[in-house]
Amino acid sequence: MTAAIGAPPSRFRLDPRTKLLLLLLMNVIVFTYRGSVAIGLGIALAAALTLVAGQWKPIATFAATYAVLFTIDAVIDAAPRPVIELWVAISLPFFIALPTAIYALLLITTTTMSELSAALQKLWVPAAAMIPLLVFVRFVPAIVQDFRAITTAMRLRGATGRGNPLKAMEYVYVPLLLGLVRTGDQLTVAALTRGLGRHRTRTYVVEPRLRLIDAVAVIAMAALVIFARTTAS
Amino acid sequence: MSFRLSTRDLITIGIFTAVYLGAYVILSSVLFTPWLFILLLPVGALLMAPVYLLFIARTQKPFAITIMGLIAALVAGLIVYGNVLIALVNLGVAVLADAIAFAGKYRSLTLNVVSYLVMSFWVLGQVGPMWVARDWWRDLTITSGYSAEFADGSLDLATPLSLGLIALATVIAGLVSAYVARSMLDRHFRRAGVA
Amino acid sequence: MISLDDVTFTFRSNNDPALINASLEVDEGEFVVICGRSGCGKSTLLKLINGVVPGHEEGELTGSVTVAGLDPQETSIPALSASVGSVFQHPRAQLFSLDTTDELFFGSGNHRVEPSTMLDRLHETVAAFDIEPLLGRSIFDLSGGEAQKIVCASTHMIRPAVYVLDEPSANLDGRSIDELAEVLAALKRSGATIVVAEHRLYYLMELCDRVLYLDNGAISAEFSATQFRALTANERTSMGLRTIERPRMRVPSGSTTEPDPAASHDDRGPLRVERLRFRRRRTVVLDVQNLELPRHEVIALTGPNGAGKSTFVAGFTGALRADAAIHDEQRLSRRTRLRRSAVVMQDVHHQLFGESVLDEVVLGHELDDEETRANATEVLETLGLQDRQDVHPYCLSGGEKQRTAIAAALLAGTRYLVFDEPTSGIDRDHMERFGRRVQDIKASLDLVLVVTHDVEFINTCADHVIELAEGRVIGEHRLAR
Repeated sequence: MTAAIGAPPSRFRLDPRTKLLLLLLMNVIVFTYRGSVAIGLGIALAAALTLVAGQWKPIATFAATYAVLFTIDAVIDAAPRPVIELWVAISLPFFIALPTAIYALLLITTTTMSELSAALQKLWVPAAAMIPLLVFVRFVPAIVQDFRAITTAMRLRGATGRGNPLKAMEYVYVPLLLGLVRTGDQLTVAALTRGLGRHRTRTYVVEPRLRLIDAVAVIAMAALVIFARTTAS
Repeated sequence: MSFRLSTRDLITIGIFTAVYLGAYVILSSVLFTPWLFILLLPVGALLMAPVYLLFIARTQKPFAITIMGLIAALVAGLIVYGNVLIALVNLGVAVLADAIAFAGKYRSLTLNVVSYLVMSFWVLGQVGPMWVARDWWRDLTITSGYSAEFADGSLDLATPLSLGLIALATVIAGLVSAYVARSMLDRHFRRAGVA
Repeated sequence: MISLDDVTFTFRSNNDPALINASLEVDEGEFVVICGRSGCGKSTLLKLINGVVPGHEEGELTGSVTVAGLDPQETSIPALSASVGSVFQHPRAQLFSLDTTDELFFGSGNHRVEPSTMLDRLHETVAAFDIEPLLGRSIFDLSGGEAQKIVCASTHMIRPAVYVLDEPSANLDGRSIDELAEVLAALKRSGATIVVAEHRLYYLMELCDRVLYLDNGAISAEFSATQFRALTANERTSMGLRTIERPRMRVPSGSTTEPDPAASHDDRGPLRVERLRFRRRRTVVLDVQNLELPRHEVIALTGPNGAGKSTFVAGFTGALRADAAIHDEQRLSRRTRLRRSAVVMQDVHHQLFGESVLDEVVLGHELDDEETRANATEVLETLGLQDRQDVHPYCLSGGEKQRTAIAAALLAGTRYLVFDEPTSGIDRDHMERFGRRVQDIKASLDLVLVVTHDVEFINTCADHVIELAEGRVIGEHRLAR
């Protein structure tokens, strides 16, 4: 186990900077292109890159979700008009988000937090933005846990504020926010006493490196952008 | 007023962004359909003033709100929505909110509340692309397989008037929330010595 | 390695100094334990060594401090942390990353240690602390003991010359404390200078070279390890110190003891848990059958982490929807159990909602009601909170928060009162005081259940013990009082 730590990631894994660039370029395509060929190819490219990075499960889930959506979309025409309208309302955001969401999926499922922060540091993102970002990621699940503990406590105390939503809001916020202020203070001391803020940058055990796969991915994407631009009306 | 954000400030920013943004993420998953989704503006504004005003009270420095907006833009605009334009709306709203609170040195309750009301529109890009980028929205709905009739229908509803109504609802909800938040600040956070 | 010369420190928010005329020399490689009652100045002494005072918590300092050749007043906390490593009470509030491996690299990365050196250190640290199974885990899946090991290991990755630990065992169970002792032994072997402030002393007895006793902000006594071990139990108790021997459960003396008089006055008999079962992801995590819970007695519920103690409590009180058949004269519905139960949580601040102590205890009642007001005053007086009734709960000490939660439960007409780890991280005096308090209120309650790892507490304060392991009851004893 320890032997694997610090080893460079597999050569089929993209540098996080590349993944961010691909996400941006896909945005350019979606913004400027009116057609489905380049977008379809873009989706295929993202799926392929996620697969070669060894993450087939999220791609399978993603594909299954959209297979269901497309199937419903294909057969719904036979349904009465209000049902169709409801369906359109529900499904529209999913279809609109598809081409870029799959690049977000590539980024999220094939990047660890330390890889991402090492990459952002290389992109000159300052500590003033990096530290809050890391704390943000660390605290979202912790807050969900706290929230559960508080609602349980509210139930046990009979302090549900039933009939008075503003009171209920107070019963949730007061312990939640005061608890977070306390944890924040403790985490600050723990971080300072482990050297956070001593230097402007940190070292990472694996520094991100651009490799062949990054070049291949970027060239493929660039070709798509050019194709999309030249065929745009 | 010091301009330098300390490690404690940066950690505070991260934690409060997690509460603020986390609540919006949960709300959007509940409201995630186009016409209900617009309610994210007033509902979010109704809920978040205690978090936002305590956040300002805990940092009281320039750029704290901007960094919150930057993370929101990165996470909700770029990663979740995968959209640069929406991310820019997120960030721009936060910069404006930061500037307003800065004008009162982060100590003026009135300006902090105005800053909160402005910040409540940070999700405008996510919930209302039909207002923010009409042509893009039209093309996109059509490319996504919907009829031009549907696209135009949605744009017909997206008038300045309807935006105004939503904005009005958001401001009223935000004021109610700020009223509650002020009472919470006085009765709890100040007495507890954290604000 | 550490030198304090006539140091007096006063926090800005206080008038009285937290530490008075303290002088101390610690040699390289020495292991020093600092003990004393809560509020005696132990933490302040440690914070002077790692620079947290006056660098982070401001105040007035006289005298001089030198640590590893540095003056903490002249050095920033992050810079000082290359030489002084710190470990605190709350394991989770010290973790910065989502993943244990990232956490190990956190400190060394901040100090800009070369990647190849970091890797070499990792192999050494993992071997020294025996934490290979913990690598690559989510921090949310760690027990308190595992989290504390990761914090120690992450600090060790910086290779500081001095370690200061502020009540590192406060939130740990018995087995985790043993593991912490092994980690400390590894640190000692590596030649580090170590200063630990603690209430629980037994696990440090084999490791320490010297013990300092603080009283009201002054270093009032100093012992070599041998001298300290030679103190009589009475001497230690009068100093307010906990046991120095590994606490073992006081096994019943063979003969059945008389039932508690309070219990024999009640002819309703015990509460009966005919069945309490819960499955999580198709595995049975709790399966308790035909368990009797004696009325008006302090019942300790104990067992290792993951034994099902919390699930038992959640199922019993109705917070969790479990398969339950529980009788108190008649079978109780989940709703009835929810109404009759109150839990004083370990994270007691999660359950305090009021704007003052008084507001907290009358929550949900009408304060205008004369009777409620009179009852509230009476309950607050019994719990010694009458002077604190206008204070915001956040500003209370841990013990006062706990008492506020008890007061609220009593006033709400609770009949089944459950405590979750009420004595973790408190000194002997407070533990005994808590025990007496629970003994005082038990007659007015139908059930007092204390979930605890603290064997010392069980020995001094409990009437009845139930041991859980792997979701089942494996032992049940009445304790001689």
